Amino acid sequence: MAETATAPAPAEVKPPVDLVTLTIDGKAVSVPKGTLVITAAFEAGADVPYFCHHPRLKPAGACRMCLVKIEKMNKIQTACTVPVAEGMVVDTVSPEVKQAQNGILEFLLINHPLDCPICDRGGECPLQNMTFQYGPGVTRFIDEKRHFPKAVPISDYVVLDRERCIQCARCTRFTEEISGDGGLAIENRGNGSIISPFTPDGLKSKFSGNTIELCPVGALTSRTYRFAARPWEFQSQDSTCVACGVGCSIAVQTRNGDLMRINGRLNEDINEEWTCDKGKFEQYWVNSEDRAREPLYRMAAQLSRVTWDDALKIATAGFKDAASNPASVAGIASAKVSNEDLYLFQRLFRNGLGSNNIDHRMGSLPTQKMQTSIAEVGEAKTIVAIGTQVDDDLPVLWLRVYKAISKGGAKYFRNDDPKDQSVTDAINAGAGTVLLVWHTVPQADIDYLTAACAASGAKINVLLPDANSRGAINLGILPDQLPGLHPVANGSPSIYETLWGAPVPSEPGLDTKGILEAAAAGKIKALYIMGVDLFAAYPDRDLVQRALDRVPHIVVQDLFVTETAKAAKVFFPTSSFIEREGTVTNIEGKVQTFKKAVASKGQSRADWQILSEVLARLGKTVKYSSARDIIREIDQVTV
Amino acid sequence: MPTEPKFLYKYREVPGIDNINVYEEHEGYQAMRKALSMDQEAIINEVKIAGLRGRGGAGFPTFIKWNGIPKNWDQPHYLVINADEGEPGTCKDRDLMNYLPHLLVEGCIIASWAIRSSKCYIYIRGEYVQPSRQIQKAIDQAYEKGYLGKNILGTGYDLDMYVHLGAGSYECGEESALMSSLMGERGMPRHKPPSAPLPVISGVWESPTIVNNVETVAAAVPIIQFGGAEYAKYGTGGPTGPASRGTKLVSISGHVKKPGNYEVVLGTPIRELIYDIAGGIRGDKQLKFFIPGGSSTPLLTPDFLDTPYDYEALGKTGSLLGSGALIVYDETVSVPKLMTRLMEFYAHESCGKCTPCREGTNWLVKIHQRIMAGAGRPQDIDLLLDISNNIFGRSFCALGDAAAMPLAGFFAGKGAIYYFRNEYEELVRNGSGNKAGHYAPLQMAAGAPSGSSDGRVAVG
Repeated sequence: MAETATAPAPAEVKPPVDLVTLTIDGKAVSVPKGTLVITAAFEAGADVPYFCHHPRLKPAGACRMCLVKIEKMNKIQTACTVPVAEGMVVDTVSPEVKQAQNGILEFLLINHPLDCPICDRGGECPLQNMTFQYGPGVTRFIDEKRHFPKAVPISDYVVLDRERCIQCARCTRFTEEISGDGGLAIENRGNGSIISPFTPDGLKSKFSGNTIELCPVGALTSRTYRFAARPWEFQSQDSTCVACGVGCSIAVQTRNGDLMRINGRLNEDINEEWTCDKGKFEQYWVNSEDRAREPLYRMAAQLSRVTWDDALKIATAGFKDAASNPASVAGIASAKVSNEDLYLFQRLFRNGLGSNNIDHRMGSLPTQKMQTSIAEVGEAKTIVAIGTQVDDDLPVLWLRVYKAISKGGAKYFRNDDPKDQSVTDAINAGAGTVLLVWHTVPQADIDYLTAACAASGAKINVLLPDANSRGAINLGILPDQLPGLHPVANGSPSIYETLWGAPVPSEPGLDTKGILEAAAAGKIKALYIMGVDLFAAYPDRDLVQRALDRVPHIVVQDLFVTETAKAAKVFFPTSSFIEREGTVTNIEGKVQTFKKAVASKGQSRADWQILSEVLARLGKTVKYSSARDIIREIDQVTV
Repeated sequence: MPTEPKFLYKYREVPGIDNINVYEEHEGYQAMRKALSMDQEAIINEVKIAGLRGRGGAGFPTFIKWNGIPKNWDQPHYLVINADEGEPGTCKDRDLMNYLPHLLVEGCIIASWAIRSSKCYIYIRGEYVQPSRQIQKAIDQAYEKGYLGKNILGTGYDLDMYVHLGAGSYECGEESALMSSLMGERGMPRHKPPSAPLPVISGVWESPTIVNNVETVAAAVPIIQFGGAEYAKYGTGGPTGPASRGTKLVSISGHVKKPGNYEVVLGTPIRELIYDIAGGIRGDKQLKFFIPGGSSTPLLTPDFLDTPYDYEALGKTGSLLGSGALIVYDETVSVPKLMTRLMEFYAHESCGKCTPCREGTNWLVKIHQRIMAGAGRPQDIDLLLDISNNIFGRSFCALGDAAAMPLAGFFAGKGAIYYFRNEYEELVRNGSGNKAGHYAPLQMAAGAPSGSSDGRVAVG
């Protein structure tokens, strides 16, 4: 099911790279010209300690920890700032270097507070580690350390302890070079240097969480994680974020069944190693006391707890009755659930109930694919945003935009008028221009822009908002398309008879608006709502209210008892993305997996498990005992 | 002998010499006219023959720097004058700018022409309010006469000159930090070769830049006027090998009868500088030691009085000529007290970028303050040396080296602790050691003006 936005590229003929050969600790290595000595040293297997160096930041040479001896240079040099030269001879282990490393660490430790017992970084702290490997075991400093305020909140999420800071400037350089907001700066000088938000009202950045992971000591800490756990106590699960359509790779770290924190994970194609604050800090709802934990059934105008068996029985019975007239059943799904959930949702309707009345769209939604990958946005020469504030809508995509600006000198602007001259000029610049167009832009404008780009060689990326918006389209959560973008009106492909035992209905159904209007008119007898609060997501609250008032049998499954859920007859509690496994398809069409890290809260179940039960009770054959079984079936129908 | 020749100070005593008309009555702007009729290569050649070396402290041969400008003239080049003069003890540039501002302006025009720069920035430390006003006035007068601006004297050469004020940072006298500050950034130093190209390749605004000291550029005036060979007649060393040719402005201060700025021939023995030119020790006291080239250069004892005042000879003693600030100390001075003050200076001025300077200078201050307050331990003295050696050669820029040299010396390892260890030991012996744990923060030791040299402060 791996659909990518770009056609498979022809075998790449890479331009020849100039290699430089040098000797490190007696070992010869050849690396591309322009490589820094420290990078070459790692390739040669040498161990060079560092704090301020970071492969994605410009060299600083500030901490002086990476000093090495380079022949023919009389002072020892910082390996992180010197580019390799042909025939260079580097020594990283000589007594002079060792003494220098010891001396630098001693300097770093004289004013560093002995906070290890209470410092979040303890156990995963580069300063601790370097001290053990390279530093003095005993201090010679008997004077008073310099003091600063500790625990200074500098943003909604980040707390700064200025005494622990070793002025490596990784955080300030991140805000200058990666996120582009320049939100952190060094104030004062000398031993009085402190990190400070650039503006008096604090660090206003959508990416402040990254500074916590970059900080080599416990100076920058997370307000949501402070004092919560020790890193050796928790389990870390590789997973994918489902907060927006970018789909960053994350590490979900949990302890005793609760989410402790989310860290970024390396993925060169999507988020490199970064996170956004939304994805990193705003997922603690999974721990919330308000999570729905039990199935509910409306008895005497009240939602009361029932067993799963009873809830499923009642839910299924209502749909079975209504399905005698397939036009009177309908379903609305969220685009934030997994591919497995969505696939079974449309099977429930097309196979279990004989209806195409399903949709996931809360407004008009263009379906065309992105013309570049996320990574390619970072290589563009001109980037135009239309209808979207990129760092709000798809934050980590903004980091690619800023990468193009800061590293490639790209031009960027936003203009919501597609016909404006500046936009036309950008398109006419041809290849190298990338438009980022939000899904709310009218289809007519999108068509116009697409045609203009096709003529000039520019690229247009129509951006969808949610974690699985692309998946919802690909899997046919639409009244007129089957999985694999197969139009319903073209008839039923034979594979469905093989898999499901019956053909799929070939008459297109109602879209979301049609479903709600039909419901308000009394024509829908059973409505299934999966994972979405219509009152919050659909623009016409009044229509939603009228619709829900008229439908006699409403089944809702969700993480919380939302306003929509309060109108349900039967409510099923669902498990979150850290309590189960599933796949989502991001905006560029990449399929990624989120994985189970903790047990399901209460009696909640995965969405697809619930749908599978309903299908079985409707008399359909289901062979799904895991999410992967569903993927295997999806592969068969979308090939 | 030491008062002849005068290349820079020839007309220093003329009243109103800071006015362009008076200046022109005294050979002013003749060198500029001559230079504008010369080829750039010819000007640089005169500077080479003159043997002019950077007068700000580094002593780098000026002609090599000027020759380093890439010869693609289509991109802008910049001449930046380093008038930050932060090195403690140095005030020669201040007086040159106050009393002979046109000498600097004329030198800048010649230098700018030689490197084909159309923009010259004079970076003056913020504390030099009066000198900056004098320079601005001189620049305005030069514009009026058509010596600056478009098509100077009909040669087709355009040159604009600007004064930029600093904001109180010693580090901004460091070439790369100065360039950062000039561009409106924090005055932090930048990468040097091999990590980044030299300023002549990429300096301010990523363009080829020459940064020269005030005195260096002012010397271009007599060099062009009288020819490089005339300038090179004086001094020591050469013609092959290292040489110190010409004259140097020396700021003599401290316990001398006639402190002031003097123009001396390079190679003049230090004895002559102190006892003849500066009139000897005030109150006829004994010379205890002197700092030859600004506080960053290691001190020297009276044994070195016969050293010629030039780059090579001073280098051999284990010290440096530096910026040419000779500070003289008599028998009443406590070396640890002086070192405390110096270390406080470097710690205050440290930009904070690199670990050894930011932390090391702070540690040196804390140990000194503790010793001065009577809580020094015997091991503190070697600890001071060890800290200095951990800073030297490890820092991002030369400020770290400058902080380390007073105590630990230069390559020869002979600094204040080598020559006056006994003074530190006495303070440690007579203090209360680390026993009491409580000590007063440093105040200048009571009774200093009347000559107490052991710096004891009452504890508790």
